[in-house]
Amino acid sequence: MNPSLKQVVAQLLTEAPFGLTQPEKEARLLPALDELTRQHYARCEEFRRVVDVVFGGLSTRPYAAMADLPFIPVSLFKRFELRSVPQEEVFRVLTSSGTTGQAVSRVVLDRETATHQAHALVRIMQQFVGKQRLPMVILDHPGVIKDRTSFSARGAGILGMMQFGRQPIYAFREDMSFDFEGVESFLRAHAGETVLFFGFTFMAWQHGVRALQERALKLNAANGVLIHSGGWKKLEAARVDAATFNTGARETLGVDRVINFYGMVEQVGSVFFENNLGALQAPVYADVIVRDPFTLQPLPAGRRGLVQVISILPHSYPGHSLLTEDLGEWVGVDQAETGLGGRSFRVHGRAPRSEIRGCSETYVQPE
Amino acid sequence: MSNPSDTNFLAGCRVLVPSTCPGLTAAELPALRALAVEPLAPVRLDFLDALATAIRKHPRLAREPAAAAVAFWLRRSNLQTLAREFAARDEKDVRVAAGLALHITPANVDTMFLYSWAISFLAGNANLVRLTTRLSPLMLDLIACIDDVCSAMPVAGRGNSFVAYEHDAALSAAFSEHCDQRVVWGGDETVRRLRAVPLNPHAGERSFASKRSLAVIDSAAYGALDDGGRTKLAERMAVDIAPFGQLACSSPQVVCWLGEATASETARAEFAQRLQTALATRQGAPDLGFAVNRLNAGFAAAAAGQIDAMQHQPHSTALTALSLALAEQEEACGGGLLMHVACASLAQLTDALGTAHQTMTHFGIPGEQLREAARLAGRRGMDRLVPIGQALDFTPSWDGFDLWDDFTRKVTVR
Repeated sequence: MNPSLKQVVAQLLTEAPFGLTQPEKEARLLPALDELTRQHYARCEEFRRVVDVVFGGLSTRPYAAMADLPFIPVSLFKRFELRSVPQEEVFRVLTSSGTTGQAVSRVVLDRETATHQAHALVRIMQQFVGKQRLPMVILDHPGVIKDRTSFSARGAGILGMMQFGRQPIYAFREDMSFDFEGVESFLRAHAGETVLFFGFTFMAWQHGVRALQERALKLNAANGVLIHSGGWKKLEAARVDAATFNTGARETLGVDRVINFYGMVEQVGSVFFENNLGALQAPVYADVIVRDPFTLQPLPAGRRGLVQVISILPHSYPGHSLLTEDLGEWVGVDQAETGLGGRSFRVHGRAPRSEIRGCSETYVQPE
Repeated sequence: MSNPSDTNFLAGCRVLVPSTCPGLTAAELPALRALAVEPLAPVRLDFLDALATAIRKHPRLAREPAAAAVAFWLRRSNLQTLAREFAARDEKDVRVAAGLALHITPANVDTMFLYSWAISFLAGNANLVRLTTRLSPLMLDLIACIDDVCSAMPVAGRGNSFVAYEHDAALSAAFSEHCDQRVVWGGDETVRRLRAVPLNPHAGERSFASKRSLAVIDSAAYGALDDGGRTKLAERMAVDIAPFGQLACSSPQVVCWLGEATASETARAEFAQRLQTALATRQGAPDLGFAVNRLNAGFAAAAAGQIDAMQHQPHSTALTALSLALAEQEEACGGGLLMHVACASLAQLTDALGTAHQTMTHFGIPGEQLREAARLAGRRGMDRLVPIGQALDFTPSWDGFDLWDDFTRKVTVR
């Protein structure tokens, strides 16, 4: 990484994660993102071709607005191994199964990117749960992080979160059944402390909240906080909205607070936590743009389109500017009532997949 | 058809038409072939004509282009033309219906099942038509029309059942044991599966493998068109790619511009704009899922080094391939995506074709060159060369096979 870019990232990681107003953020981030874009252009052939073909090449002048930065769709990580560092510098490969079924995203990390991403997550988490490491209950089973060189998104997310926990335990057994007695005794041992629960939204609901509801069991994690992430698609299908989820989590786990965050394996670290208005807040390392899916033009606040996420952290792969398949809208910027600087947005689920049609489809295997 | 007291129905198979039939039993399958009639029986023409009317009068189907195309195809004058063509070719031999035809039809080209059945019905066969269990609204409406005509003309419709089941080797085997002709639509995967299902040794089989199609436009001929002519050509292209999300085998995915490269480039950009307008007029509001698919496919083609230009618009995305060899995507994207490519000559194009190619829609190619192209492309595997705008027009000759032959037997008399 070039010194100037390196300095910007290093400096930001020492500052308050929501301490910049949007104009301040843009002034700080844009030169670094400009440099990052040029760096990926020089080092990653696929990214270079996309910039040349879709964006008419690199801008001859520095990029002056976030919306001017070239971007790639997240789906490219399913079709290509996008890499901007030599193979020998690859330290870890994150994988995630996407919505397209068999296709798997592959995200290559070097040490620096992995460190920066972990660091950013720490800063953001501290903003919401404080600096002390909390006793932690993971709403998943221990098998998800067995292999430490190649991680599923779920495993990577859990491992990333575990650094905030003390004596973390898993709430689920290998068969995904809820270990009520185990969790209950853990909570007893930490009575009076704030306990951190973490899980992926659907797992936390299906095997956590629902499982406890079915058995009519309740935990008492007074002062506890549940942090969850990972998409609402399956919950929407089950007609579970955020309010239902939050109420269910409070009632069954006994936690005080429930916080959702938006993130993806292609941009680990600079995640978007829910602010006190229930909107997702961009930290100083990141920004968000909403684009018209039909023209790719950036949209103003209040208009729904495809969410584009920008992050200063991805260095080993061209993931600093990604067009997602999620629909969302800008809702605010530098809102005093949140106490947080930067833009906030809401996500309204994934763009519906168009039905697969065509001659080559007589039978579809049941899912 | 079934004895009401006999409830030993074939498990997992739902009878859609006739809707009064509670289910099919294995016991009644052997008797079905006896319900075949003479080819081109007037009562069957009447039946299809009544069906055309029912579709035209249906409140939803009347507004659905794919259904309107079916109704148009089923109209009496077209059927009479088909009948004349059929009757004209056998001088010495006697044609009889094959018997019982089993149709394995595709899930998502909503109208294909109907064409396959209609030709076989005209040929005089009893028919078992297998449909997906995930019936689209369009398919449900078409089935309701067929059922209504069956109720109104029960004698004419006898021996024709439309059933729904998901892939079930036992059911397919039960039907295959008693059929005289098996027709498998649905591409390579389905063909492979069905080939593994034993077939009555006396029966014939016709399989339709996965195919791909392309369009050819002569750049100079396009350049010579006036404004109205260009708009019309774009509208005809829209007719070819709008139905079924552009994923019918016959819908082009690639457009080859014949001639000098710079002329092609101007023509392509011009045409892409007109096509966008034509699709917008046909389709109204653009489809979000298709737009996302097109973006993903376009960016991927760019990243892979296949293209040097991408023009993303609400209803369409135009990509420009660097070469003919790079023009074809492994998997069709559809939804309004066309890969344009410049090509010096028809000979160069035909060299690049393979057995999986089906339809070449064309514009601006003189008749004698077209026949030569048909000969060259045909040797490679191409089955149809038709004008742009007719890609989806169904004819009894399909994928290079004659469905009349498949659905009848020729009895030699000397």
